[in-house]
Amino acid sequence: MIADQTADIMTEEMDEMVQGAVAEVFSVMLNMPIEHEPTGTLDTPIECSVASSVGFLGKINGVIYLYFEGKLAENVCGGLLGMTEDELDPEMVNDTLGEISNMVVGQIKSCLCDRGLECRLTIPSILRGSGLKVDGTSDTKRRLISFKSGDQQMVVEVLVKSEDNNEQTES
Amino acid sequence: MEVKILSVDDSKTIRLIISRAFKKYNCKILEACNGVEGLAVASREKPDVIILDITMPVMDGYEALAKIKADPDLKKIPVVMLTAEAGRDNVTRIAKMGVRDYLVKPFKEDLVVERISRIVDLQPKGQKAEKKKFDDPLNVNVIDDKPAIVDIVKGSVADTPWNIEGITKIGDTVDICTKKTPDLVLVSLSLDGNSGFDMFTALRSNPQTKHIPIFGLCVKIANEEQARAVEMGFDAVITKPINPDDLKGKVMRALKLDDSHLYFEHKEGVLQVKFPSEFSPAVASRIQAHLRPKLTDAVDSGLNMVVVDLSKFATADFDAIKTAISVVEMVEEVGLTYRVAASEAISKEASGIEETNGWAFSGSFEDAVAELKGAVVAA
Repeated sequence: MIADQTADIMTEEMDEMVQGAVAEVFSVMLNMPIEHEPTGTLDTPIECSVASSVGFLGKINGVIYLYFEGKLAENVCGGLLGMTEDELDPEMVNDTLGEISNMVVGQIKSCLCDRGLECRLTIPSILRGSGLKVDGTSDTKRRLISFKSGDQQMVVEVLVKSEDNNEQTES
Repeated sequence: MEVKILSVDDSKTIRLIISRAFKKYNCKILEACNGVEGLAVASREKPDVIILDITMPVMDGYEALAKIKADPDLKKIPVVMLTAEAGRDNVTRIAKMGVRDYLVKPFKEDLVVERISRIVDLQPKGQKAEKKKFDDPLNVNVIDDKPAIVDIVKGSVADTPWNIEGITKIGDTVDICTKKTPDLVLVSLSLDGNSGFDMFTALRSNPQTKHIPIFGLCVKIANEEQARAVEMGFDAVITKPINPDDLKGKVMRALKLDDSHLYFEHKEGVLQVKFPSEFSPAVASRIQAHLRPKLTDAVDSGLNMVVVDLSKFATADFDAIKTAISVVEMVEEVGLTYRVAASEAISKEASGIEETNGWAFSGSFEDAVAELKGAVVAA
């Protein structure tokens, strides 16, 4: 039954959860406009220098990455902390993006739990580097949801272990 | 008193946001980055409230909360949980653990302040600064959709330096009062529907405006509104037509304004007790209220001469004379020397009254000072 649910969730339903969570966090914490950008079938995340991720473990297992393009990471941190670009240090940027992803994934987790897919969140982590790209294993289901804030792009990638593995986790 | 708030969160960002949210209040923000550190800070500092994150390394919020509740020294400290997970199960679990409240991320800074202000008394910074005086430029907001009423209030206090600002767009009240906190709010109780009372509730619910004294304003015969205002906790009700003395007296009491300088002054080596020409029962009661402490101050600072100054009156004002009698009685009781500065007409009148016929009169304050000092030199 959980296997069916996981398969059902990794559709437009997951996209909607992500869109709702991103809109809520950006509006409440950042007062920053962000719009979902329908891209059809997005194959790969964007080129970015920083990505934050939070995992979830339980009746559904996976990880959600938030990829920030160019200046968007700095705009998000500056907006949340009320700091200028010069005042921000990399540690602060890491912490803020980690917190933003924690909030986004926390919202998604609540939706999953309300659907019977109870899970726990991991502590956020940050990836830095150029041309970051995360490949899931072959038994991973994947959704990519793209957003635009001004001329900057943010992509949310959801990776969930396939139902067989989830069943094993539950057994 | 400074409120101590402990923010336990592994995210520096959240701790910074919490700290920023309470910047405008008399608070000491303590920080810890996990449950273990949080327990140590709580034991050491005994905060008034703890804002506790759930997902943290080393020791999470659930475990930290359980330890707080098991510690006799800490268990009474209210805990507000901060969680990114708003799911039913999570919320139920938190509620069962005996937290006072919980906040779901994302959250607005104002919301954190509002929730915490339900638990502890947050005082906006600067509110307890120097005691204000009656003739300081107080800021009073008058909430009434009729500009004419605002003008009437302005006219009633035209002899003071108070700034009266009318708010005729009722919906803007909280915003305006939050941006520039007034010293006092006067709200019409006869606004459409319950607007006046709703405004009272809105101002009292906002941590930044909850300490502002609020007066209701209504016509004398609106007994129902007056009773309701008293019941709701309005600081005073002013009835129309406005009696300026009543309004000023109530403002003074509500704001605990210091008006003693209007009636008492250390001048030229004596204590001058000033009777203003517009004498009223309110003035009499203010003089009486300040008399003993002012005489004590005078004695403590080495002044032993008093001039009861009635020189502003051309003819006898019996209410003023009555008050002057009680002033002189207390001056004599304390053992200070005194003279009464008054016009010839008053001194003549006084010589025919039993209680005042022994007073030593001078024609002016300056003469009274000279005569008191001359008497000291002669002695």
